[in-house]
Amino acid sequence: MSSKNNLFIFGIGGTGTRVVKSLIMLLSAGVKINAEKVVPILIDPHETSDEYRKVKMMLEQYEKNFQHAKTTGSSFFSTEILPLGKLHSETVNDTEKIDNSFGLNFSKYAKNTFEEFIGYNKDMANQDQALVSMFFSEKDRKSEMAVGFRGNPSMGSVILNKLEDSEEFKFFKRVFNTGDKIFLVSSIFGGTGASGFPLLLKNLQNAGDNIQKAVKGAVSVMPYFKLNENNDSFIDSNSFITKTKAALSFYENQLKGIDELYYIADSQLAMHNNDEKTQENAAHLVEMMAAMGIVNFTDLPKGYDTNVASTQRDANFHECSVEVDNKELSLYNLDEETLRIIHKPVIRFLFLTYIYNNLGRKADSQPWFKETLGNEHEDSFKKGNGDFEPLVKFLIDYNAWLRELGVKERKFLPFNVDTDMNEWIVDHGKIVKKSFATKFFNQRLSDDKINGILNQEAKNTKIDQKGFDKLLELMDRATDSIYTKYFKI
Amino acid sequence: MRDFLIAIYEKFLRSVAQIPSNTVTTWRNDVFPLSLWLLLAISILTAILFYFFYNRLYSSYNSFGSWFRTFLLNGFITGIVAFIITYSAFSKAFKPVLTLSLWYAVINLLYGLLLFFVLSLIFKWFSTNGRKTPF
Repeated sequence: MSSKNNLFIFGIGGTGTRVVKSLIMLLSAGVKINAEKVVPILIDPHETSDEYRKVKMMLEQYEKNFQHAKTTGSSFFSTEILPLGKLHSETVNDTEKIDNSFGLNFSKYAKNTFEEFIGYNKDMANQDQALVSMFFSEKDRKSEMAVGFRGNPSMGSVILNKLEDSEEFKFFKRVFNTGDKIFLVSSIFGGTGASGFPLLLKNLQNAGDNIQKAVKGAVSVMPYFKLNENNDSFIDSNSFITKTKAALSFYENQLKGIDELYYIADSQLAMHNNDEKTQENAAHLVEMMAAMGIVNFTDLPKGYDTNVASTQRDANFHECSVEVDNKELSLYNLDEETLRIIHKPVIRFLFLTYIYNNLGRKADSQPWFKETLGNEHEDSFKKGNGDFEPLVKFLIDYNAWLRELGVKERKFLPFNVDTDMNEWIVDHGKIVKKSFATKFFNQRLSDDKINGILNQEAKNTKIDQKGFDKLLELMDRATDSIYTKYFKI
Repeated sequence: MRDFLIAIYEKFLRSVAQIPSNTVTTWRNDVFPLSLWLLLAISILTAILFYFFYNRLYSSYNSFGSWFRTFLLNGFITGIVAFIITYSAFSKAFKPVLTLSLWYAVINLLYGLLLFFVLSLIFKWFSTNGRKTPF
């Protein structure tokens, strides 16, 4: 099978990981991306962070859900996301295979402290030690690599320079086909992302003809949060703007080889807890919009001259803006193009979540339940195990992500599920008003109405065998029907 | 028709009580036909309301419990209506046929239950939400 038009996404640093997470969420909901396969490669030395591990786990759950979606033709989880190690190529022997992880195995390359990595010890010449000391404080030199570069790009640039020697990068070079695209995600104000982006780009330019010529995009995330004061932390968010300016001036003259460069930032800076070990930052709209940059990149109808290296082509620049400068944004405050792309998927996924987690639990007597699950799958469905487990776990993460988007400014609050179901979509004007007639003729959306839609659609499902695949097909049809009847714009 | 009514009502009544000879004609001409038509009408109406109205408005109506309550309700209504019909027919001399009327109500109740069950097996195929009710 051809592996043409794959999209390799390098998620560099904490922000890179979080943007990839947002992309997974959007793709799970059914946002379409113009690529046959999406291959995320997370480059984050902070492999022990909860966020990094969670994203890796989510990608694994997504992969399982995708297999079911492929069988059912469901629009949820319809894009194939797979780890680099699972990409097949005629040029790769079995002995050259790498593990099926979504991340670069950093712990293999950057162990212990920074000074151990650079060989700063008694064997190092005094002059060299003095030179290193000029650039790196003792605190920096003795810092553990396992928690990232703590907002210090100079450290990151030393370590990430070894990236091209990694098994994963070598494997990437072998499986990359002409026509595949590359996208790099990083922050400009931190450590890993700020240093990793230009270094990775440099490595890509030396990684072979087809990679040199490949169409490349990148999103550079500028400050969108700040950290509270913490004297024990290496990171000082007061330097974010200065670092951004420095990096931008570097990019202006030195950054070559990106065809489409996206910039995003937010003036409403969310305040996060300054804990470099956990970095438990809530998901943010900026990350979601950066993920939309990746979608936009694959959709651009431009023709690129791929007979020359990308460094020979002119770069295009993109920025993102919202319609209003509010502290809280709804779906309808997003730009028209973004709204067009995500409106249907996110609303459908909202109802998938609701049906699965709420309505389905008490739907034993419903024909759709009996015909789709029956007694044999009822238990697995309700307990969320067996075939249902990846979806259940994914829905938990999806809901947490959605909730987090509404926690820190600038808040993204697309839904208000504490209200009547017909008004869940914030700012959606066209709702069926409450009246005796609409009640009598059962025109408003309700549990009864959703069950009715499910019962109707259950008659149209193509999969005969009861179980998860049949349920996924039913959910696909029913949520489409709900969207079309009640929330279409 | 007359033979059918005798078969479903009169034979049953005779097996449980004595029908006074001076009332046989009234039973056969007035009570049985009207009861049968009303039995059919009430059961069909109840089934239609259950499968195509309430089940469309409220999906929870397709539970077995809801069906069973409607099943009993239909039986009781047909039974009570049968009793009212006999009372109307024999209002001037109702006392001699009271026991018979009660038995007649019971017979109609049973027929009501049976008919609603049969209608359920037919109507459920045409109902989106009730197609698995009662089973």
